[in-house]
Amino acid sequence: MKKFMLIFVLLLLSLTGCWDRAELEEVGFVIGIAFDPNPDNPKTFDTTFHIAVPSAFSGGGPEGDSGEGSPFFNITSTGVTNFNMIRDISKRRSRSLNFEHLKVIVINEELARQAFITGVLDLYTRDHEMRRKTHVLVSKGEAKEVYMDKLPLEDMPAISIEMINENYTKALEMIETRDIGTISEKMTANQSYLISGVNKEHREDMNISGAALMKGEDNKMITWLNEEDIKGYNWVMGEAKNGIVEATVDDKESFIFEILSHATNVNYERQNDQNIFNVLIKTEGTFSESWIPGLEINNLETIKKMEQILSKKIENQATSLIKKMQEEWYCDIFYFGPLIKRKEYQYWKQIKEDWEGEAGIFKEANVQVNVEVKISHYMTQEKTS
Amino acid sequence: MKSPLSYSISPGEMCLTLVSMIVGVGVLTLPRALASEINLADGWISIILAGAIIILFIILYVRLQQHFPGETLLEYIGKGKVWKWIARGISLLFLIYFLCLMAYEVRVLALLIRMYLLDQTPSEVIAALMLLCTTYAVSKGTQGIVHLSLMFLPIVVFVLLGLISFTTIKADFTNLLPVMPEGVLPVLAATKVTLLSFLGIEILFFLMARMKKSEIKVFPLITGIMLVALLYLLVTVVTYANFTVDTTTQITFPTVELAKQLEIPGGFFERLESLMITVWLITIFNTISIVQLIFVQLFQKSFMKENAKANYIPMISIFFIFIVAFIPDSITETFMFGEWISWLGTSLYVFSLGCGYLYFWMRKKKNEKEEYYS
Repeated sequence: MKKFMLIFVLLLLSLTGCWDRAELEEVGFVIGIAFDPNPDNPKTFDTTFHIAVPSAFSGGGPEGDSGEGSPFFNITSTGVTNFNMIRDISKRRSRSLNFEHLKVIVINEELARQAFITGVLDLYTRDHEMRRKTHVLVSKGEAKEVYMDKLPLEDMPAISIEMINENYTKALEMIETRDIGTISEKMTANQSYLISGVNKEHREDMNISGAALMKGEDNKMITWLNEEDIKGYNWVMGEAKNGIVEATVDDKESFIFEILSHATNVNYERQNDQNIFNVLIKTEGTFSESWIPGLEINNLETIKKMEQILSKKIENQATSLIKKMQEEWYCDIFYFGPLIKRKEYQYWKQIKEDWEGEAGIFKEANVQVNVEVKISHYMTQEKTS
Repeated sequence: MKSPLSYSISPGEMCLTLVSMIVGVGVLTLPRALASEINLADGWISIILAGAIIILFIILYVRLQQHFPGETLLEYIGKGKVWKWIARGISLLFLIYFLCLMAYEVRVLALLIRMYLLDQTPSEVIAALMLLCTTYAVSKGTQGIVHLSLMFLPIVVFVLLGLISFTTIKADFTNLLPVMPEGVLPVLAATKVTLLSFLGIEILFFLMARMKKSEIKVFPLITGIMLVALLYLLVTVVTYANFTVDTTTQITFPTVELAKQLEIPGGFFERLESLMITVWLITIFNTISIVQLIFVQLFQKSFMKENAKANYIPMISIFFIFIVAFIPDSITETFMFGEWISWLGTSLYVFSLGCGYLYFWMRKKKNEKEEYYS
């Protein structure tokens, strides 16, 4: 028995070593990644890693040593595969890269147009360190540009982007955040999808709006959708959470409708070889700002009139996007296809392959949009004097 | 290795031991296995179906067991002259099966830990440590193992239910539609896969011998199977709802990935998959220690003399388990190995059950004859 005890004690001693020790001070946390095409060699691409310097975070240190140096640094590497570039950084900087806190991936528009996204997402969904919640954006212009300048309030530009991205409920011009997980879902299902665009026109400013339209069959970006389109998209998808609608009375005075609740119901029916989609947009909100002189908003008639103006406007936004998709780009970004799959599975199996595309069936689908707007209250002011 | 004879397993304990035996590595991969088998969202129906079939199997066995309380199935069969050799053969097969099963579980565990938790620690060390721990547990005998299961199971179920409920927040249950678009056939095809993840019921052949005659009842065991089926069902449904069926086919360990998906509002907790895997370690520990216990007892009874010293068997057994565990070279081979083991287990269960009934029937005939002549 004594012998055994001895062996156990020896085992304990030899097993206490930690193979996987990683000191926090020895790891470089990558918060953002940007992909750009390489100007010299079109076969390779540039990856920019946006790495946190925690000691320079404001309010981070106990001595309040903020302001000493930049709270982040960017480093760019060139190559044809992701992992190779990650390891390339190990040759050049002291700390090995860690992706557990990766928040944002920004892809240059030019790369997005080349089905580049499949390759990127492969590593970032395959590796266990990466999370499926990482946001993905497409940039107009250079992608690494977005990580260059610190924006006010947050320590790192990538964190700013992530937080701006999560404001999508407030702005009707933004789509719901797309993370790696959702994109890989769309990719495996061969569906067309949107990715938010990030736009950096001036230094010290950034703008997330519009979206890149990705075609389902080859994952190539085909065009940008502008802010007006995104509004329509949000209405059809039922994602206009808390945005506002600016409308005018007789093309003159403006007023604002703030959305409080919104739901869209899409009903699919197959009649006489026609695919009929009934899109019913229901929304309720408040009358929040008025530039109309002498408006008596507590009058039912007036409210009716306002509601009519609004529903017209919303209907226009939705139908114009649907039309654009059907006639110009032939992409079903509204997931009408899966709706058919749910209701008419046998029929869907036949047409699955030619649902989208120029000669596709989606193009011929009959989509009807109905809007019901309700102004439920008008805040604390009854009359504009 | 002798545990106090006075100890007998109560029905409730038996039920929970069964649950902790069945829930092993299966649930980590089940959603993917189902999704890639039929490529439809109907997997959850086949879980219910498989649960029903397993319940039927258990009812059949418990009926049989009631005729020979205090004995294992193989001891019962082994009383006949020719049957003795059949029983020996079956127990040899069972020994091989249990050995491979333990090896498989330990290998997947090592793989998982290497992948998600400790990527520098050699798999061999993880496997060896696990086996040493289970060997210690086995030295505490049946009572010890059963009570360990009782202690750990609530933690496991609690964490799993927590995982499920938190991930339903962002789930989209329309992913589960349409229901049975291609008819019943795919559901049946998937049932095959699901049946395999219910394996572990063969421990009843051995452990029910430790129950009192009056306590051999079907109902608690059925409750246990229903609990397992419910857990499987919820995990599968939530996985599909979170990832869609198409994506689930691409994810190696969907259940762990589900944990990775999870963010408690407020950003207070992240990296919940570490917690999940730690808890998973416990279930796999349970499974291995139960199997190892039965392995050791079976070996002793079938291939050793009554009074021979058996202290060293657990230690020798882990040596072989360790070697078998590292025979498959890659993750693909490991999963293939797992599939073979499952088929071996299923056929063994059905075969021994059949033998049991055949023997029972022959004995009844014989007794009737004797009565007739006397």
